[in-house]
Amino acid sequence: MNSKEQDRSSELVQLMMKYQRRIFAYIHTLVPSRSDAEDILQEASLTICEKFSDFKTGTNFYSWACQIAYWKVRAARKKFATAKVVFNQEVLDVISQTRFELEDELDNRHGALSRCLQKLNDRDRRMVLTRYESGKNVTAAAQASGRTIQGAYKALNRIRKTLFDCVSFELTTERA
Amino acid sequence: MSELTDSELLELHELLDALVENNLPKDKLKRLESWISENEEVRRNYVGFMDMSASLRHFAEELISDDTEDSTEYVPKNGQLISFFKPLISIAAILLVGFFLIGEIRNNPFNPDASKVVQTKANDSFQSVSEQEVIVDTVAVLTKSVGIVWDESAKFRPDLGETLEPCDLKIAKGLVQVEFLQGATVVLEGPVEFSIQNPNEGALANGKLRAIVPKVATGFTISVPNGRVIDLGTDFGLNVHSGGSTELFVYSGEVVYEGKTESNENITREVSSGESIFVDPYGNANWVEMPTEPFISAADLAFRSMEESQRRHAAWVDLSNNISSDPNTLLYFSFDNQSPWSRILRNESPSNKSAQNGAIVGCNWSEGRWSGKGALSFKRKNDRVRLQLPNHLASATFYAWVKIDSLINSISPIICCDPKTIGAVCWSVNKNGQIVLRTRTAKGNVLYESAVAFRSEKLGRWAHVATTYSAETRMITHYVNGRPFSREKLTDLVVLRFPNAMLGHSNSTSGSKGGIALNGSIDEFGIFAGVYDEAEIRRLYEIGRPFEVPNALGPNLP
Repeated sequence: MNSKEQDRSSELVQLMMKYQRRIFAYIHTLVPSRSDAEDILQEASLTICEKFSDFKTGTNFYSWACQIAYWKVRAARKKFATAKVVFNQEVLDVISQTRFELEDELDNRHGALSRCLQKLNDRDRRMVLTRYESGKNVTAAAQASGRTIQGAYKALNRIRKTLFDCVSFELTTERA
Repeated sequence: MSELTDSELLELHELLDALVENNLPKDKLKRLESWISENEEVRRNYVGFMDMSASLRHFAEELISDDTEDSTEYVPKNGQLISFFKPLISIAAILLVGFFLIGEIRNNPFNPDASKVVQTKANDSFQSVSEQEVIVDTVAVLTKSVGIVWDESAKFRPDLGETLEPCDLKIAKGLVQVEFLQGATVVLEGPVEFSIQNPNEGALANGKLRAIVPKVATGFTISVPNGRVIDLGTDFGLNVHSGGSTELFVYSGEVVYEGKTESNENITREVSSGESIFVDPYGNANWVEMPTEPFISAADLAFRSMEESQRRHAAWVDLSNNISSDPNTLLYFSFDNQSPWSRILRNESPSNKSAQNGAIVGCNWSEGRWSGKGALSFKRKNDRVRLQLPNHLASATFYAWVKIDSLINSISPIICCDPKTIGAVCWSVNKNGQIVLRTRTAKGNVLYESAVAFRSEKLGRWAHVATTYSAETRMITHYVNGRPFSREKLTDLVVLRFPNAMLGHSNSTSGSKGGIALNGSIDEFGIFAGVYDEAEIRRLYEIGRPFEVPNALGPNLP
């Protein structure tokens, strides 16, 4: 690689580091299954990499990357006979539009969520974070918190509701 | 924008919660879909909820990174913008490797394998992350089932042969045998609710079980509503009635019942061979002559299981005969009724029967899907079955029953041919568990890959795989266990050919001296001229499967 290519490569890595979470969140909003969303993220990342020469420095990388991700989601709808993408195209489009309208608020929600996680008791926090670790399932979360599987499903439902309400409350307080 | 009422918010939350746990029934998914489409407030809530799910994943991965670097207590990094979470380390690797390789591709625009190289590198880096996954401890194995129907509320519905972590089994009908890792075996008789708690302990909330406990598992304990039964090396039956009373009958050996009555009085009973006690819903234990109902023993279950297996085998033999006489069958190996010392794999297609027999090299005969059915197992790198297939096909259907033991090799070949000829085929499973149909075209090799079909839980178990190649619709469809799994557009149409074909082996993988063999077994294989549709492939699977699929449309848990 010459120095120009090295600069571009380093720019790409920096941009991906900065926007990786948001790109995944965008895909996950369109594809509710986490593992399917991860598969599509992987495919989108490859294409982002391949097409990076088309990206103009200084323009909006996140929007550009999300366009690629959006087409990957559409392609997944056609490719997979077993539905990786559960919603019809019309719904995907309105969800995508709403997500872009809410981008600033969603960044604030992410920050608020970290504060709300600290408000949970240790057992609940350990359980919900175990559930969201890569490769872990509800059984693992049940074990981590000493619950039965049935109990773990109920507890996860309750914790997610608590967190969602807490985040909404935090945002309202911030605005007030 | 209309505000949602409290009850609507609650309903929406329930729907979203089930959605992220892959538990949302189809009718409710439809409800959610139309609700999202019509109501902006629902849409905003949906986006907020899914974004929260993505953020939780971020924090969970961040926590692992923190644990790896430093064992201090978790403090979420509020507002932290740049931090790699684990799967994205691999993506960063993809970016770095990919960026470099794209330069390579641009320099070699006529290299047909270039895009494959990028994909392989990327998948390898992803694989390295998967290998770091922590596996929860297995405590038991589901070893037999007959006529099983899971309870509607059962969230966990393991398949036959599946290893079990601590879990709840809710069975409406049928029989299940669970073997605990410590050595105890229980036969559950539906309707029953049983929890597996650790390698030597369970809890019976409702229903009947029979426990067979060898000396090595002495101390095996089952909790019941008012106490627990501790085994001292024996064979006993337990029946917990819906009202909370319990019956215990000891067939041989001795068990101890320990419990508490409603008035908090401790009760201990030593129950020996031929004795029986009845514990009422208030915890009082009384000696009784005989249990009210008999218990199914492991031998009864084995017999019923064998009957079921024989019935399935007989149905498959009929199917196998149909396949043998179908004029569209180009090649068919049933692997049945062959001597264990045979070095010829008998082709049973209607034409060119003996000319297309396979020559077995290296591989050993082993047991197939049923007791007494033959299979060939491929282990060493030279294991193979050499084939001679003069035919060529415009459209084709490939199918096989395979048991892949591991995916350590770059590919797990099912049938592969000499890749130098245009049209040469290689049908395999790659290292990532994707089914791959490779064809040789004038431009080079073209790969048609499915989504990931063989995850770790599918390894070591029989699976039905099929792939259709349609010149007419220009589509390739991959099937797993009778269901269409993924589709690919056929980009470079060729007439399929089979020069120097080998079953379970590929000579053509770069970087592997002497080729690569499948690490696993095959016990049925066929190639048909033309494209079999979904119903036909489903039928091949349904009749050929060695086990029942209870409540096959149950929830799909992650």
